[in-house]
Amino acid sequence: MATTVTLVNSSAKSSSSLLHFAVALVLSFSLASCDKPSGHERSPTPLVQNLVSTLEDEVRELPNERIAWSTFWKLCWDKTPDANAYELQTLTSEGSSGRVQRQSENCFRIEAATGENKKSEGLLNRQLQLALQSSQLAYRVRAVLDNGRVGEWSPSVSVGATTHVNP
Amino acid sequence: MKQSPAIWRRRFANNLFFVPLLALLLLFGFIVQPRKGAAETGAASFIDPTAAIQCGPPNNDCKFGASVYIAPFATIKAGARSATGAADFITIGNDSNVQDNTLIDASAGNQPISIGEKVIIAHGATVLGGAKIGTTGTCPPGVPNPCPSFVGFNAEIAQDAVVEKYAMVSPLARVGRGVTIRSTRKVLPGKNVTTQAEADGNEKTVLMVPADLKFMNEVIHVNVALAHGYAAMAARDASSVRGINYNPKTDLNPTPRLPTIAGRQQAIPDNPNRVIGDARSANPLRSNKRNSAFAFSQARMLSMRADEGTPFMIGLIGTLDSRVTFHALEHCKLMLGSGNYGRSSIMHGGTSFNKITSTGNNFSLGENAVFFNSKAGANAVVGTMSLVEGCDLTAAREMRVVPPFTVRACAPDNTYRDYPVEWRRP
Repeated sequence: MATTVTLVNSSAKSSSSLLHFAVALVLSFSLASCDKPSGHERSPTPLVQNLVSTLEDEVRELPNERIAWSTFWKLCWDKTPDANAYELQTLTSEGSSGRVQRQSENCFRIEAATGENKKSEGLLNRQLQLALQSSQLAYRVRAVLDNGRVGEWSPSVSVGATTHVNP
Repeated sequence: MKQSPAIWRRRFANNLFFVPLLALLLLFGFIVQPRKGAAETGAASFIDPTAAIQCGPPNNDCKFGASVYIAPFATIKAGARSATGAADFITIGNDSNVQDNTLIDASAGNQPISIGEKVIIAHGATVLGGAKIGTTGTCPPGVPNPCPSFVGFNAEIAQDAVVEKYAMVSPLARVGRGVTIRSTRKVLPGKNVTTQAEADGNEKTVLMVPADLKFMNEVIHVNVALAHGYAAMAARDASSVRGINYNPKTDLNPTPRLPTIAGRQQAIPDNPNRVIGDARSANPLRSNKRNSAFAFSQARMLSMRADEGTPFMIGLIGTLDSRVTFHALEHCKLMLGSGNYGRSSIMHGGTSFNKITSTGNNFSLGENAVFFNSKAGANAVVGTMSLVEGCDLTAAREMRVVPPFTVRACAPDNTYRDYPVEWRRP
């Protein structure tokens, strides 16, 4: 998939704007390669479908009108025919190690925020914590098939985000 | 079972390829780095040539472990040596990283600084004399020791403060003098923790969650790979890790690429800034009287580090103050219109918005501000020492301007909430 980029110079006041436009044009064309998959697997089949991420809150009452709470981020996807497992890979704001974790279930759940505060404050700082998680951590999924074959990676989904991705 | 000669021939041919490759890796990737500025450095560690390492006479000594990465324009000041001398005044343990434009300053109070194993000091962070990070405390059950600890973008660890193992300090947060962030605690973004009661309470810090450990482990892995990659590159050709140049070959990014400046791919080792890998910028290389764009022609301690594999696109940089960091992700993309960047500001991609962190033209990022994993349209302004994370500032007109000293955190539906940054960087 090619990517369209518009790089527009800030001033456009002088004759240099023409040069900048040309540079921007060159960069725009060169960016077309950006979306090409970087992995080694270029297998066309199969892609996990229908990724849905949700948030689940668990709240526990404490003495003195306080609560302890946790928010779990859950990612599920449709079972892929012929898949005998799934692999998940973490992507972070500092890159990805390329390591994968394998599981047989078609859902993954991880705790993304937590707190303990007065009951009247609700889930204090939940949004702040989830925004931080969604900035720093995401997952993508692929199916593991017979003969060691693997499907293509799904689009990545940020931890803390609630989305529905149907690639 | 007897195997055919063809199989043996193939195995022999494979060995001819892999054995020398292994030997080269051992030779280049795992050699002990020479002492730089009298910092004793462990195997496969890398100190970027632009890092200012003020260790050794007349300063105190420093000792860095194995697989340590010290990124462009980091400053490590061991402080003036006393009459008796002081060995290992600043220590950095194995697998730790000190990222771009950070300051580790033991001259503040002339107290030693201990940074343990698997410690992440993120872009722009400051650690002052007497601080200990990742050397005390405990790892929780099931988490191997040493376990990671983290200091976020433009955060500050004040004199004699402690961040224990398996503790985190979020971006633009501060840990006050003498305060300890205990294992399992995380300081929230923008908070200023000035007392131990605040550090142990639930208003400014929260318990860490498993997602935090995942994040830290990945960051450690990436930076160890970078340390090895840059060390191998430097061993082959010392000039290749200077100025405008290639990214290292790593398992994150097997293809070294050159930056593209004004439409031309080029290596310029003597450039005073560090532009690494497939970064593409519209700015001209040399300053031009008719054009104030000077991003690459003047020494600005600019770190534009696309070393994790995918290109990022920078429109014309109008004004650029010193110590600005651009960092790209492995999977694309930083796409920026024309912009102005304040001192020690950080432009950092994340995983939201289809992995594209973008800005429109005439974007302005204030001093010490962080634009992280977000999207902005034309004329957006992020004030001094503010943090924008996970936000689409194009969604509503009132979102376009982020006031100074503000943490703007957005929910998945882009509803936002502003939190104060509770301290001021001098």
